[in-house]
Amino acid sequence: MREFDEMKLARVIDACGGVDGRVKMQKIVYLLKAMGYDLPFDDFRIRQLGPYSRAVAVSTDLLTAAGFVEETVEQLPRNEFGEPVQQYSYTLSESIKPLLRKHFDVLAPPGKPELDTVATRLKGHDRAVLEVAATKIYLQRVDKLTGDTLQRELKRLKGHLSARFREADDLLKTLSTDGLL
Amino acid sequence: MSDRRSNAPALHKVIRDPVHNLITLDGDEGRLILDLIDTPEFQRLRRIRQLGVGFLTYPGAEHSRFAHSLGVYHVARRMLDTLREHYPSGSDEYGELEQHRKEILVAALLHDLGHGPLSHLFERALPQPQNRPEGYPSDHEGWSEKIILDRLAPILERHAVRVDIVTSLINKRDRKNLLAKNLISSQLDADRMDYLLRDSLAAGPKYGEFDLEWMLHALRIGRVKVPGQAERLWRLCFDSGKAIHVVEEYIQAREFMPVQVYLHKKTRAYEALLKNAFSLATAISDGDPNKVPLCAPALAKMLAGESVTTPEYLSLDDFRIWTTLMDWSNIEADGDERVSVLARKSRQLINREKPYRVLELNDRTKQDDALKLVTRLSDTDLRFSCDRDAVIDLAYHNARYRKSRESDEEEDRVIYFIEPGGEPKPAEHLSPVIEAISGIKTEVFRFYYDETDPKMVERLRAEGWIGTQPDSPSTQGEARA
Repeated sequence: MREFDEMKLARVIDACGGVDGRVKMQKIVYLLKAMGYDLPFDDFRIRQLGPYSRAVAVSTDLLTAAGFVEETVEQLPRNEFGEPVQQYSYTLSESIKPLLRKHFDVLAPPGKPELDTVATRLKGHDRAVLEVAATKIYLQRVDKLTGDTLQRELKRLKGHLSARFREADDLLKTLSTDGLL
Repeated sequence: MSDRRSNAPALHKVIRDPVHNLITLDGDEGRLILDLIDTPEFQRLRRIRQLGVGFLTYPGAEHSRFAHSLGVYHVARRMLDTLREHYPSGSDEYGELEQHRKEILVAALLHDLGHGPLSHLFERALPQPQNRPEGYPSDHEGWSEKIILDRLAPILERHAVRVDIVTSLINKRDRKNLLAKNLISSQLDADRMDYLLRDSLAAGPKYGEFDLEWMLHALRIGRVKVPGQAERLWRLCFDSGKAIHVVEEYIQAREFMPVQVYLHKKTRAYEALLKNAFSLATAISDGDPNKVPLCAPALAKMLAGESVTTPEYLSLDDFRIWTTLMDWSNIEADGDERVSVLARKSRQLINREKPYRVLELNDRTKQDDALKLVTRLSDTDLRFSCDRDAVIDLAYHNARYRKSRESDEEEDRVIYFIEPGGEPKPAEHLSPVIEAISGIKTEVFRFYYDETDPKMVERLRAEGWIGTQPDSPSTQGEARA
């Protein structure tokens, strides 16, 4: 991690108006990076819940420890495996907001909308949909998979979320049509 | 017996090591490792200190990435040999490790090949290139992969080693060979087992010690149920009847070493000083490597924000950095204030004099204020005389998120115990000590400043950060002599 990387993450949380869930945070950051938004966190690797950056996880904890974001825990319904789930949510402290936009803004790539527009749009999608969409992008871009090979690998990794594949495809198609991906 | 490849006598080579005593290289496998050790790319690691500028705090911390890499190879080999005694050839448990034994050993040896000078500090001290070519490495793991592909692939192919699997074990980009990856990169990998012992021995504090022999003796393989995943995964585990106390010891070592050594305030203060010196050189360059004074071309390019080739990257080591600092320390400023400051900061590093002062930011208001101060100074030259430190280290904190099913880190950061024929259980379920440690975070929030910069000192006094008499720095573990 480099100096102030965590402040770029704070700017993403700011743009989203708060983020519900650590996994969702990871997928939003990954998809924003895939669209070319100027974010650090080059250490994304595929894990059991899709693309994951340890730097994003550490930055989240660092922002919480510094009091720049507030963390709350909520008990959710059991997951698809019947396991109990707690969700960690993050909201930004008011005092830091002006500083973020002035010194740690995340630049949009040329011709693309500003961060807040896209981040809010991603936040509107369910965690599972973002997980499938981010995994698919990762398999395409990093593993260079296409066609049936891509679909097979996606099913191998995310088969338990196959009911959400269509929504994820719709999201990726819309983002592509809008020139974001 | 003879070497299959050359009809030469079978290899039996012994290397004396301060941590593991004898590291042996035998037969074809030893020949492969020796061929890699003997490359200029691997020999370069002799010239990269394991702990960067840590030797300025702990005089003994002079050990190199070379010795550490040999140690990681040795531990990985011993892990494989231990597991081979417990699981038959071709078994479900051992099959993957048996199939990829050579690749695992090579990945263990070469995992740090791409470290820049001063180890981790180099990545934090230099700007990212402005226009990164496609596939340009963003960190030392990326450079390790690139150097293997660009320079060492022919050797690996000659020894029938799968290059793609070696790089995959190092860069961890795919979800294949997860058990093998466990040995190379996890909470209990060969890398960590070696560096805790080696750094502890070299630096002096005993906090990193643990009973490696007993840990290896108790190593097992189990199939674990990972939250959020249908498939069970093969994982390294420990025999619950033998290993609970040694794993507790290991996790405590993992918790104590960052506090006592890696994040020592004097070391971090010298890191801040070096980062400032490099940032100043970057500012002097104004994007043109030719404007960086008295500097090797590859370093000048990186300081100016340009990308470098693999040979250029490999030309950089600690010798080059310290030589450059020595050159800068004597440079003629010719009236250029920034060059004069660069010379002064270089002297501070070379002669270990006038270390940065440290202000501990003990509460959130101070942390908030320090961030605001640093951002206010970011448009002024005072930014070259201060640094803010914000670090969080989680020795085994992931247990908290594992319980929440909100962690992607499950597969490599949870330690499991297993009893013969039983289900693997997360370590914190059987150990109250580990359960307690899983709630501990090490947090470091500090502000460093250069007391030799009168404008900086004046600014801090004016804003009430310091009084007329700055606090005395800690002297624990330090020696100028």
